Amino acid sequence: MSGDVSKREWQRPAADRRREQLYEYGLFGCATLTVAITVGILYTLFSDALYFFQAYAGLLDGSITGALSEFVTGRNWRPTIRPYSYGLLPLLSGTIVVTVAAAAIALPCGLGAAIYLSEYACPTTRAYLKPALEVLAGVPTIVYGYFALAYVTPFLDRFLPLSTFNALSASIMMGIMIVPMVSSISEDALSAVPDSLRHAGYGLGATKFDVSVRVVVPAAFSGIISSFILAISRAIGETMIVTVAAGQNPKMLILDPGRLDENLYDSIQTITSAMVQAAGSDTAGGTPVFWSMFALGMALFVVTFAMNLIADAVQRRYREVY
Amino acid sequence: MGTRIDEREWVGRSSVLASVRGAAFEYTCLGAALFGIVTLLVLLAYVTVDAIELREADPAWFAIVGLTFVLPVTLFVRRIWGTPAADVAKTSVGGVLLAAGLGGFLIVAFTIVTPSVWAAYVLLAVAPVIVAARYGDRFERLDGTGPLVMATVVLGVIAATALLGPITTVLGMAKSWVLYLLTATVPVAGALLWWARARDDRAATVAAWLVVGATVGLGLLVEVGVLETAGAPIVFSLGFVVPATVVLGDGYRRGPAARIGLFAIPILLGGAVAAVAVSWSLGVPMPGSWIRPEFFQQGPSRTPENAGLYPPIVGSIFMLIVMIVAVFHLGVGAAVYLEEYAPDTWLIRLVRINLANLAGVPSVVYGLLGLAIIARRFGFGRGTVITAGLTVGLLVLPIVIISAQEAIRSVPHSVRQASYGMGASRWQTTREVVLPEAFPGILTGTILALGRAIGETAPLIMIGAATSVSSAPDSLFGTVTAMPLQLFSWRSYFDPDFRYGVVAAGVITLLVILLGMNAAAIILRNRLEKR
Repeated sequence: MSGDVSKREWQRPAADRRREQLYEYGLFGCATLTVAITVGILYTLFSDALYFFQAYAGLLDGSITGALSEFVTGRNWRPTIRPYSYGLLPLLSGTIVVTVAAAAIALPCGLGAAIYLSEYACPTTRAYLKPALEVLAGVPTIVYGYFALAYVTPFLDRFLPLSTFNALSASIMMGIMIVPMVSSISEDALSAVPDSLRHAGYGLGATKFDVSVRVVVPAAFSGIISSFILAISRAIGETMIVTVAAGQNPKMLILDPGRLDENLYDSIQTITSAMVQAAGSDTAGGTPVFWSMFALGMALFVVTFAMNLIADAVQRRYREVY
Repeated sequence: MGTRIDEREWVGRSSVLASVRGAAFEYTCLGAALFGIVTLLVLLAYVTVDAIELREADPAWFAIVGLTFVLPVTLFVRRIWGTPAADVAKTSVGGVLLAAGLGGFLIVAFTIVTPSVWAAYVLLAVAPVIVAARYGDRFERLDGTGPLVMATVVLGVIAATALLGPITTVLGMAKSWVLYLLTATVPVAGALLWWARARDDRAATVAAWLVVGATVGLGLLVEVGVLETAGAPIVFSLGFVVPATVVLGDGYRRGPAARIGLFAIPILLGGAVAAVAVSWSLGVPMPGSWIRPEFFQQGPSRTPENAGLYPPIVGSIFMLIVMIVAVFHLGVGAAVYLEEYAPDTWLIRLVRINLANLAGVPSVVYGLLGLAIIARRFGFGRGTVITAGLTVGLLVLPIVIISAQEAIRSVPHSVRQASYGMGASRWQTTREVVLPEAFPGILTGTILALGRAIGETAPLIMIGAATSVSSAPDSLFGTVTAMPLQLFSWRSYFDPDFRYGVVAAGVITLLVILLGMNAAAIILRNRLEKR
């Protein structure tokens, strides 16, 4: 940023230069704080997860690696009832079910909204529609959880054999919550497609539908994919909707598309809601339940961080195309 | 942005099928965009009906409300629709509501900061800083001013804290309204008058005198014996009068045609009062709304009638204060560095990539960070105000930085070059040129981020905040609860009065506060950008 100006700095008195330096160091400190936060998160999660694996190894009379493999491949999550067992798979499958169902709503809706905003909407409609969509992301997740529990479940219960806590209504509300994330990033990608491509399409005699679907959407493909990845990452990390509306029932789900419906109608538990439950149960610290929060947090952080990095890398690519 | 080409005119004529398919696609996309919005609207309608128990309302009551409130308001809206008056009506109603909210915020904040504690800090920590800054400016000893001001801030806070006991005893002998007059009203009025002179803003002058008048008037009422204490009304008037007057003054200055919009407030208020008065005099029962004054004055309870939101509201405000103090400077500082100073090195690139990723870290993970580092390692304690405020502050810090960066980036380069050309240093350019220009954007981003923070629940649960606290916190190390946490604890009550009454009222309260903060951000930005 305006680097050539700093060459003239030597003209200033020494006191002024020292002061300028001081301010720069102070501001630099603010910026590096964000790195410190990341280091803090990593350090906390990994060191405290290690405590968990030590405690769990003691429980299993095994080694830490044994505890780790039991955590990753275990098919039971029973943190407070004997015999204790801390297997991630039930929580992971619950998370996957909710995420897939939420994505099934959010991805098409978000993409459709993005196409409408970018290709079809007149400026006035855009001016109202865009902020209205942003509002969806601004509603607190606890409110969405309450809506799911108090209104959506009783409504769906008329048609479907639902239990009070179920994955379906949580997924619907979560899908609605992440629509704006998909639509805003996808719309940026669609709007970034140069008009010359559209004109070329029209010049060939294509209809607006053909231009939108066959020219603009493929041209913005990496941006759209990046928005999908970010939205799924958000769904994986979402906590309050699933805690309030999906229940606390960790069970291995059958990840078979033909039987997905019975998974959706019943109570399940996700990684995040297991963390909330562990924090809410009476744990002063030191017990495996308490430390298990950090192991779960580590798993969650690793997955979402990796997805965010991938989305960032994918998004970077589409900017380079034009 | 799509090019406006109507395919039905010249391309689509060849094929009816293609134009049908095109239309179907367009409306499917529109439907996709509207799906979430419509669902949310329906749910909001349900929750509103439940919160004010409209289902059981008397038909006569609907008739009365329709005649005294809805009809005049509709006529008025139709009269001003599409004229400049509509704009004035919108901003004046929004501004007055926000001013009332700000007044309420100050009342809650000042229940904890008593007049004498407030006066002690103003006299020892704030006043010397202003004197030091003025002294530095007056004598143009610019290089000495920064350190001098810093030293005064630190020393003043230390002195005020150390001497708090004796000072408050001495100050406590004065009447509380006199303390407020000298340490709050007069400085506020002075700042307003200075602003009014600098910007030729007559509304600010009026606001200054109104504030002084309100304080003195309330003080006299105390002296006469009509009022017990004047603290809360004075504090409310400080928060309310200034923004309300400025917004109304703005509307007034827009000329006679736009001025009609100012009637929006009397019509709304008058309609509401008339509705209550008529239904009361005719003996028509009002619906038993769950949103009523007691709801904001009571704590948690097992019975729905006695359940209220007072401790969580105070807790949320406390956390907000901690966050503003902790996050705002850090966030703006980091954004300034990244936009104005940062060289393009691997470290800075790392910071930039990391920032985007931090914004995507799930909030429960921040809760773990708060629990392990802030609550346990720093020893701030589980579930205390400061732990909660700092944890959620860390969570929104990346959002504050990113939005501040965008605001700074949108300042045109020519402005900076002009400043450098006049011989200003980089810091002088940043402070005097870039930051004032970017300020509306920074403020908007910060308020939106704080709104997000108000709605966060999961990190608070992780740091062990109690979901239900019977009394409001009174210090930074008191146990805190927040509005979303209280909603979380109410979810497990299966009594329909709780589930569809109390919780609905809580949801409405939370959403109104969030909407208010968003509206405040937008109004502030529009107003500051106009200047």
